[in-house]
Amino acid sequence: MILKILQRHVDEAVVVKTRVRNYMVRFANDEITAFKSWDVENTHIYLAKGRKTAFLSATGTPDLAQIEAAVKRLDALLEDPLYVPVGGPQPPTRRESAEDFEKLPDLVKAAIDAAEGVQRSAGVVHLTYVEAEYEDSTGRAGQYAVNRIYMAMRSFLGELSATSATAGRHIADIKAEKLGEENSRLLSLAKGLPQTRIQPTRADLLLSPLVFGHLVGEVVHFWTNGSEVVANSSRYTREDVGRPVASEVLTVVEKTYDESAYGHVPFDLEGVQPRPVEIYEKGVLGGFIHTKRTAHALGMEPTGHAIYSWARSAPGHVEIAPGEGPADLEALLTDLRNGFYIHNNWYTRYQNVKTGQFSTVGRDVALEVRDGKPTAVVKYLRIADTMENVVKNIAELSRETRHVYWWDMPVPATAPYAVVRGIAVTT
Amino acid sequence: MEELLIKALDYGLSLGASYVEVRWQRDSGSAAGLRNGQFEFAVSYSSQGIAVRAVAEGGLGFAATPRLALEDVFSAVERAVKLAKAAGRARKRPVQLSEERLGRFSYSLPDIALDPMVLAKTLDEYAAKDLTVRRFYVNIWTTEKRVLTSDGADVYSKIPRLYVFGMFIKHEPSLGSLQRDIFLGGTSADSVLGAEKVVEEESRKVSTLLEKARSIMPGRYDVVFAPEMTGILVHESIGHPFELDRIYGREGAEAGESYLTPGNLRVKIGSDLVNITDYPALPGTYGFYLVDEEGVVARPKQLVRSGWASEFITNRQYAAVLGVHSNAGARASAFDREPIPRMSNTYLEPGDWRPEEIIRDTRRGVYVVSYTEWNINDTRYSGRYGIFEGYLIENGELKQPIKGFIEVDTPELWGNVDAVGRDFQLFVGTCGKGNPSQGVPVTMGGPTFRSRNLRVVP
Repeated sequence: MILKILQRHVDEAVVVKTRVRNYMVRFANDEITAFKSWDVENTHIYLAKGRKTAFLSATGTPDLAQIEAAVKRLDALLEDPLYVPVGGPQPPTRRESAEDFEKLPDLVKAAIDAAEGVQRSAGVVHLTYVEAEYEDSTGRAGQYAVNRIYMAMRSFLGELSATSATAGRHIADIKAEKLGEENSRLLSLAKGLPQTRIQPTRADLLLSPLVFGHLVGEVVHFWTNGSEVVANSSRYTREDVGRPVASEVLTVVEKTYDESAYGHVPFDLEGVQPRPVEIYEKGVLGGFIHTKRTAHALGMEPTGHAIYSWARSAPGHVEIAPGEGPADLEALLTDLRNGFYIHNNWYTRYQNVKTGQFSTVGRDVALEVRDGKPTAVVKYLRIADTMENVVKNIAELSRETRHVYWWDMPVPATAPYAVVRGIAVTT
Repeated sequence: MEELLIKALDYGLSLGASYVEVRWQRDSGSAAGLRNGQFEFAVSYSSQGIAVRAVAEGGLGFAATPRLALEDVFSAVERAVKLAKAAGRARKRPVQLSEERLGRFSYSLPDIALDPMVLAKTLDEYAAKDLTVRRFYVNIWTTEKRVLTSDGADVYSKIPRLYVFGMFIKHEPSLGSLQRDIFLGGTSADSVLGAEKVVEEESRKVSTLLEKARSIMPGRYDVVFAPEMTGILVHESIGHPFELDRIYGREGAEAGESYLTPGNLRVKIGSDLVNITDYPALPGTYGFYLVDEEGVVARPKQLVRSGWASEFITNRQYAAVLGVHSNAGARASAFDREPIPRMSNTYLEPGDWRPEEIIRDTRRGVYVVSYTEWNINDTRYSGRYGIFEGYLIENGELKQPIKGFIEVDTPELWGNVDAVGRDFQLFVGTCGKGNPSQGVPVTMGGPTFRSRNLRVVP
């Protein structure tokens, strides 16, 4: 109905209706602080008249006045230099049933109970059921319904803390007990060690999947993103594709297409089915994520990454291929030999997004490692370097990966542990 | 709407809730983006729905619906009460709320009659054209709320807001690269009066500083902070750690906790010159409001007085934990977000020095005007602030532009303050917290001030 109205006023239109049902249990000090349920229903509309484009978003269904105002506004706009016609292959249709949110408190209890030897735990479990319907003025149409869930828990022991996180597409993917067990294990490793601070230096680092996934997600978001390349704010240009730009042990694939990935969507706002994007293949820059618009501007193929907006491409889920290193933390510390283990990080900020000069603050236990053994807990450790050094100085990746997501991760990730050499740290 | 909200309240109480709060909220507006002088996007949007919070059987439940039909709102009420009861079964201590004298009035501010694309284009005309990247994002919208609580609050508000973000990057392989971000805004069109000048000056500084600023020698310096720096320092190292939900661990797995602890709240955090306040009701400010999402009327929160932690940002739940009254800190960014303790306009209170006197009185130091990258650990103890515009001070005079970072612990930063200026300026920001994330409009600032003997590194 909306599409028919729109077609009377504009040359092209896309209508995407979304309904997102959210269920979240938050807990702290081993008790539930809030149990939340919220629904969001929106209609997202793309309008094009000649080469002028605009978007409209409204809760429920927009009324005629909102549509007319958006059309009127369209006439006054500048032409869109990235304009491309609506069209392409049919988006797929796939639906799955909503999962049962009443099971969520059981996951919380299981995780808390498994965290032996800790004083208290805080965390969240968030179940989302996303439904979307797409139709456009060329007659393309599709719909999907998918579940996704993540759980994160931080356990405390005095001044020490440890965070574990897991993510998946179904409640059955969440092994809540493992979160408690992992926190318990890390805290027992750190318990009793002296606490210290460091002077600014360069050091070898062992990064957990949470940290390594976070940093690679930042790189994908800011540097291998068609929108940023078009804006000239990326470190990379079109000409860098095919060049060695990272460590040979680094292979990264954008996995929004993968039905098992937390960040999976069957199609984006342009009705394009996401496809695998080889971001890095053994250190060689493979390509960028794109909307149809950014792909056309750079003479590349669309990748189905107009996930949140028609204006900007965004990654949905990154996967870093495992390496040949050990899967066990203690064995990885042995491989690191001397340096620091950083278990989690947050508050990543850039001095300059183009050069990738950044710092990020370690949180939870950071360990000083000497001769392969933890010797101290380092307080307030920061990585303060460039993203270029991070991706170039990777020496080893663990042979196992984790499917992780939590509140401060820029992109959901499937990531291994990583040993990265010669990275600047401070406190 | 009023009848619908009252029915929802009554229905929640009939289901066994001891407290019910119903909030209708609509955010509607338009936004535009320019990328290197070219059109990037234009969007119009409207988001609305009803949020229900309930306390039942010792637990707290929250539900929200975008549907305004009675049956849909009743369904949300049922979910909120049901989830509250489920949460209550997993609690050791029941959730309680402080008793308050609650607001019963309405207030509205005039609309902002500006077009975001026109404003973005105007500002872009003033940006330096030798930049490698220049981006503008302008958002103009109106937030309407109607809050009713089962213990008597009934408040309608209508607040328009304007937000401008500008990013400037100069990338010159022979010199390096430098980025400056600016944030402007408020609750009226007046908040961007003079924005052209800000854009012109700040965008031109990028090339100048890229060419002239030199890395500082690492060491200890007396640091004079201009109001933009004061703002970010106050916000990160005082505002956030003074949020009571953090102190009591509710944000422990996400935004973090605090260097203040439940057993050690009234600590000396600064010198006697340090007085820090959070006050929502400053007219025209981006963080403005008169009543919070729990119906409590706003007043100044005296966070730090003469260096002592004296008051904390709270909602009714955590006020009850301390046995005090709420100071109207409960904010929600959208209809589908839970109200939690947040900052509004947070600032260092002015002192009696002229800013130029502080510089003249500094023998060897650094004058820091503005920042680039910054961050702080999750208990808000250890901060790092990158210098965008800064100058060496030698014998009371500004010298060479410098670049580097101030790495400082919160007690040292505020404990070493020995001069506070009489000037005052607030800066716009979007404060992130909560799960799901909530970005709320805030300002932060204050006067120029000096803190002695801080660590500055290249």
